[in-house]
Amino acid sequence: MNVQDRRRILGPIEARPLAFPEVKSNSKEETAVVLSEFQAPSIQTTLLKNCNGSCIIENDKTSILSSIYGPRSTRSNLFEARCLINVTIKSTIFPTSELKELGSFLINVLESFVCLELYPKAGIDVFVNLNIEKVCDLSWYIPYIMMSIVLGLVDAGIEISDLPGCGFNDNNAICFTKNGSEVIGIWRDKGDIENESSFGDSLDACKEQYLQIKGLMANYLLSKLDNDKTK
Amino acid sequence: MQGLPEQAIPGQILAPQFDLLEPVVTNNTNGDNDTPMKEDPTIIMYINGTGTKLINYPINNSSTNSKELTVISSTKLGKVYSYDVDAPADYKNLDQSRKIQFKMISVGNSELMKQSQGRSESNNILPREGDVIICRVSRISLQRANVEILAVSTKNIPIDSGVGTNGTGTVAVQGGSGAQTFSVSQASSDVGETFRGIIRSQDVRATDRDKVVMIDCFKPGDIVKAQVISLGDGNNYYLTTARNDLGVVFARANNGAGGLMYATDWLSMTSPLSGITEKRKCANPF
Amino acid sequence: MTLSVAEKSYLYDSLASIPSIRPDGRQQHQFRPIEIYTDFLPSSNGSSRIIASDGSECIVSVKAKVVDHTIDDDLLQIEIEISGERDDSLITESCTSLFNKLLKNIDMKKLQLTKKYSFKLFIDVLVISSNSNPVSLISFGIYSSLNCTLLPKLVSNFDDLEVEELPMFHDYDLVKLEVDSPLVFVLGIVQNNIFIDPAANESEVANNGLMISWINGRTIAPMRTFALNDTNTKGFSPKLMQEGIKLVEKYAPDIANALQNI
Repeated sequence: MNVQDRRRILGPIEARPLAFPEVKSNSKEETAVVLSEFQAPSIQTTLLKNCNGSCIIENDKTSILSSIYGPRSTRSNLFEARCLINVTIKSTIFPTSELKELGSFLINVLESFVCLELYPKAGIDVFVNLNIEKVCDLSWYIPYIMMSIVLGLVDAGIEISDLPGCGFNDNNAICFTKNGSEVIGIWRDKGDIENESSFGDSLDACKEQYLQIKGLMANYLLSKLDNDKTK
Repeated sequence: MQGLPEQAIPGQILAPQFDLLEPVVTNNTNGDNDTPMKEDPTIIMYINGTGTKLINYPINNSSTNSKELTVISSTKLGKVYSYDVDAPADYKNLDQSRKIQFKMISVGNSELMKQSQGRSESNNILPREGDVIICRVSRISLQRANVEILAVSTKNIPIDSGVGTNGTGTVAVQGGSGAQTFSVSQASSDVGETFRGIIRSQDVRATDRDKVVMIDCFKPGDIVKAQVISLGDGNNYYLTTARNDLGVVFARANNGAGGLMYATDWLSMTSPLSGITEKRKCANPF
Repeated sequence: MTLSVAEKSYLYDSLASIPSIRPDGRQQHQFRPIEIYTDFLPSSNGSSRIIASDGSECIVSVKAKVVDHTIDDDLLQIEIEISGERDDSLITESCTSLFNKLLKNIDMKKLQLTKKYSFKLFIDVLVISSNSNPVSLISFGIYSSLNCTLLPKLVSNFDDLEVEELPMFHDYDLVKLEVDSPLVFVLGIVQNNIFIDPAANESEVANNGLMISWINGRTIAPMRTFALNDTNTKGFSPKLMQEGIKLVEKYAPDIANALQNI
């Protein structure tokens, strides 16, 4: 039996614990900043000299740089008839395990549109640097990350079967291809799915945003072609 | 039939796989009747060249009767080229009465593309079967020579001048596709991340292939022109030098300590400075 | 599992046909039989061992510790180890990150002991062998081990804000932890068909995989797509996602019920 009395009386019965006035925090809550509107970012490709392709996507608060290395030799000892893709995301804001999870998600998304069979025995390395101010969850950045990777791949001359893109609405980040007739990825981190129709609405909103992004990318690429011609 | 676009972005649909070339309707005036001559239309079969891919595209989004059409879609950013080609080897003409024309569509952005009529890859610099490559001997044994592939002929070098693909430039080794099998901490950046190849002793020359002495054919550090026989295993491409124009192109005497040597015949090289002669399997320089 | 090209094409065509034919004759919503043993680890508060019919096996242990929740508000900690994979490998890290997000759906209030103290649960998962995607198996394991978790019974006062007191427990009486635990469903997509619990051979040909989480009648986050293989990955029709959610909402209560009754 434990006979020791572990109670410690704090004082007389009338004594009240110290109460501090509630400190009103000036910093806004994460959720307070709702950036549902997609902001058309500025795009620039072929920035880095030591990689095959690169692209930077910039907003006033985000700057996402992708660099594509390869197709280059892998250290795999197995014969791979198709190319291996690797995505590494770097950020100081989000925890590494979450970034790795997003990396593995993006690998799966890339596998569905990069022409892997053209690059046997090789590997493509995608590095993404998130130079951002935290305004939202990681999923909010996925449309920009996707955009930057896709344009980086185009810049590297790696063959891709479509210009896919990603839309974000109501916590869903959904990646589309083939003009929105096919989904290649969905990433949802929080919130319940109340019913199907609300999910359907969010799906349509994401699709709209994807089409907008696709238009932006296509315009950029065509203007880049024209610039090359005039040079 | 619609004309092809001049330039394409990835995912842009260029043409259906099969298309009809409507005949020009000519009025037959020298006869009594004014009925126009009806000519059979020509079928065009488009073949996907480099930078394009055959895909099935859904044309109707409603779930009840969605159809898929096989179309040629661009996979690259660049100009669109189309060339008349012969029927592909695996094509069987079932109906002789039909006129069929074959056109290859390619997308790319280089001079190489024009020269090779769209057959050559413009940016894909991976070695393939039959490609002639330049490599450096890294190690030899009685049975084989191990080499590092430096460049692939008739292929463009990408913007990064091949760093990471086939160069030995400084590339930060961080994760990367190597990390799937290799820990990051074990990798060092001065290891050239090149593709590796093997020249087996049987593949060194076309004659007396069982009597090849490897040390009389190659030495470490030699620059060798070779041809890819197969993609090989996970580690190595299999290469051959069994042709007159293949073999050592540059070598230094005295295991790399001496001067540059020149081929005197197909089995020996001489250094003009020291007069030293060493054995090599040389490539015909002319 | 490696299948030949002919086997793959046969499997793909039968799975893609309408209605789809699964190699083991299962229905669209049917799971493979699983065996679950609970409460077999003497030193943990709750444990379960779950074995799928293809030999995939996973052990889950739940241990509890009393913490001051005003200092440490992270009341659930999960560690996942997958045999044959490094701790920092992509699959282990992404599984851990996924389950960390998933377990945020658990009502932490249920773990509260007093106004100041709470139980902190340490969930350790060991995947001994996995032949198909282990995520669903792990979530079933966590569900059944939380379901059988017994925690010491509190005998001291609930209100300890005024009187500083460490919680005291009954010497041998234990109380069952009543907490809703989330389940993860893995769905395989082949062309225009979607089905629950793809086996290894089905995963090999699937065009994509969908992961849907569910807790006590609600479909929750995280929801993800992930490739079940690296050769056949393709896009799929957006309608399939809604169909998948519908499928899960329809059959998840039955599965939760079955797990509850162990």
